[in-house]
Amino acid sequence: MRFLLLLAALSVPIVAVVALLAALGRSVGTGRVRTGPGLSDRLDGGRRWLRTAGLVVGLVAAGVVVQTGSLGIGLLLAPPVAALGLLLGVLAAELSVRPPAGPRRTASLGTRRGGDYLPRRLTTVVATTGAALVAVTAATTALASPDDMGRAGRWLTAACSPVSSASRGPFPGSYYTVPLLVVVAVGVLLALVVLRATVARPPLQHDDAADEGAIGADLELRAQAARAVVAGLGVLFALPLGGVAALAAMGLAGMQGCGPAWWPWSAVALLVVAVLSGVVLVWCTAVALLGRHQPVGLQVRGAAG
Amino acid sequence: MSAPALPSLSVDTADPTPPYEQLRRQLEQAVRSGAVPAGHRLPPIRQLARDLGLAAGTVARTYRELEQAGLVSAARGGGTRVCEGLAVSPPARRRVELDALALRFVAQARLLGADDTSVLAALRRRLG
Repeated sequence: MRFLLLLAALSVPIVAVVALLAALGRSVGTGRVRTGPGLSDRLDGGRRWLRTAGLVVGLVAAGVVVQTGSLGIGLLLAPPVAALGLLLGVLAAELSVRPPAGPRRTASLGTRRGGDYLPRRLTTVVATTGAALVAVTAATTALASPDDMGRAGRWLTAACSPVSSASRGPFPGSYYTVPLLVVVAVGVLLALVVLRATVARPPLQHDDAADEGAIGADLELRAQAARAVVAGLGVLFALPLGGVAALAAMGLAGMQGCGPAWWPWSAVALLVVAVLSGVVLVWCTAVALLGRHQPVGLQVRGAAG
Repeated sequence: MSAPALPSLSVDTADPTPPYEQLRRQLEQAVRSGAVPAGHRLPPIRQLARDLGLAAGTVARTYRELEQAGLVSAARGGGTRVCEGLAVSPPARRRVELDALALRFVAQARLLGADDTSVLAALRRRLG
């Protein structure tokens, strides 16, 4: 399939860019810093531009996808590809952290787990959005039929009478949903890898290794990375969900007089889903871009009981 | 009410004391003083080794010695936890030890020519 070849072709330079960014980050951005106000900002150091660079790489890749995808498929896949770039940037930032090398090193006695860093409300919303994406794409895939050129899953066709039928397209059938779900699955796997890297990486060190504030700042930065991952997943789910739901709603609403009686009602429900996914998209984008300074309510796991 | 903050561990690789022994001493002190409560799960060996830039075997040796001393117990799949029912230093004893530490700190600070204000400021910086 053409898009798979495209994905494979894109993955090589993207992986190379992540490796390069991580290597550069190790050499320029993660040196030891002194304590003081804004410690987490200074500990974060050059990792910030790694995340931004990842997003830029994602946007460039999305531009390539838009240019190469046929029959609107590029337009559908571009946003998730951009979200993949954001996730790759976070991954590069996490991988850029060097193991402690100075004579004095400090570690927390808490046990780190991925779940400790996830923002509960946002994670619930994003997981629900992901489930909705799977449900909506499964339904539209089941409803779709081949187009006039015989390409499976591109149109919606229904009988209007015993002797006539109507078709409408494009409709988000398998022609669109299969490549979309592949990209989304890649994004979910990538997010899990990033979360694992976020939890497993060594703590960011600074000159005063015994400073308790440094451990807290490091936890805060891990939580920020986890927030960015969840927000990236939210964008990855919400944008395609909005597109698929809106396209399906238009298809179902445009088949008046044909098809089952529940189609118009489904169109209304899908429009609601599209609007809600827009809300999730705005929320996740805001968190991804502005969420660095949100308060962190972290608790170190491992207390008795 | 939030739980008291856990103490952190530190290792000085320039110190002649082997890192596993530095860790063992700190953990033993933290457990005996009650700073790390009974039932607390210690960080996995790989996590602590990675955080401190040490070999996993170094941390494993520390945990093994603590286990042999009856301070922690390891269970497959359950991690290494501080044993229940250990005799924890009474508050009065901890206060005496804290006073002794403060005495040593103040004495060292005086040798540096620090006055009361500087000593207190240094402590506040450390406490965050």
